[in-house]
Amino acid sequence: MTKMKFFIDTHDKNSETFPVGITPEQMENFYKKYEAACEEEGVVSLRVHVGFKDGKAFCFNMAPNAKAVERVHKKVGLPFESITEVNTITPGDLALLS
Amino acid sequence: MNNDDKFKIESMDESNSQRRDFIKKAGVAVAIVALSPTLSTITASDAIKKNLEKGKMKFFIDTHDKNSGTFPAGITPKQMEGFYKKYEAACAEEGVVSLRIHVGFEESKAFCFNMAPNAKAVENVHTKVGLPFETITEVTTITPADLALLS
Repeated sequence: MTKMKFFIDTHDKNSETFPVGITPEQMENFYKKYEAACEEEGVVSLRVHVGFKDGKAFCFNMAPNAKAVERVHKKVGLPFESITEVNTITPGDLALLS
Repeated sequence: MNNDDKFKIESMDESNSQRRDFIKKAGVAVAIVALSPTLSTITASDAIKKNLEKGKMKFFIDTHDKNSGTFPAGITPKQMEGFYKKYEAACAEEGVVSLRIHVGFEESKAFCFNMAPNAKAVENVHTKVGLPFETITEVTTITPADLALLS
């Protein structure tokens, strides 16, 4: 099995990487497409957090590399602001790092 | 030199009875120190419990980036662990629940996911630990179940 890492990508209406005015209902449909694209690229969508008011989104994924996360976005036609490899900071997670 | 070593060295010159006294006092001091985290946890959960009972908790993500001077560049995972304890304590005081913190050590970025009554409470936590932030955004979690709650 491919070694998986964690990534957070960001979207912001100010950088035109968030679909302004999207409703929760439209988001639900969009999420289905997103999930299908994730599956094709071997990416696990763990959580997507959306700030509807601020026009921002944060996607938390498990993927073999940042390139796979990028391909998912390309497939659904959604540009992103940044993709960052992250670790989760809880005492247990940190112990695994040191 | 930690406190225990200090106790040992100071007590070496004491007579037996003085030593017994000393050990008794040290025992009380140790008990107080050992108990204090428990006490603060109880107070902390009260603040959080109060917010939860009000049913007004919302979700927030705040961001940190070294490029905006809001991430302590060069921090090690070990130092982060020490910092996280302070952060958790501040959260408890402000009635904020720290759900997850994701840190990109290489890129020097961080994302904190919290449950709080409002953005001000999240801001207060950051002020308390002396860590500036880039943005605080109220968010909802996009899974079919979460979205159903919104509509």
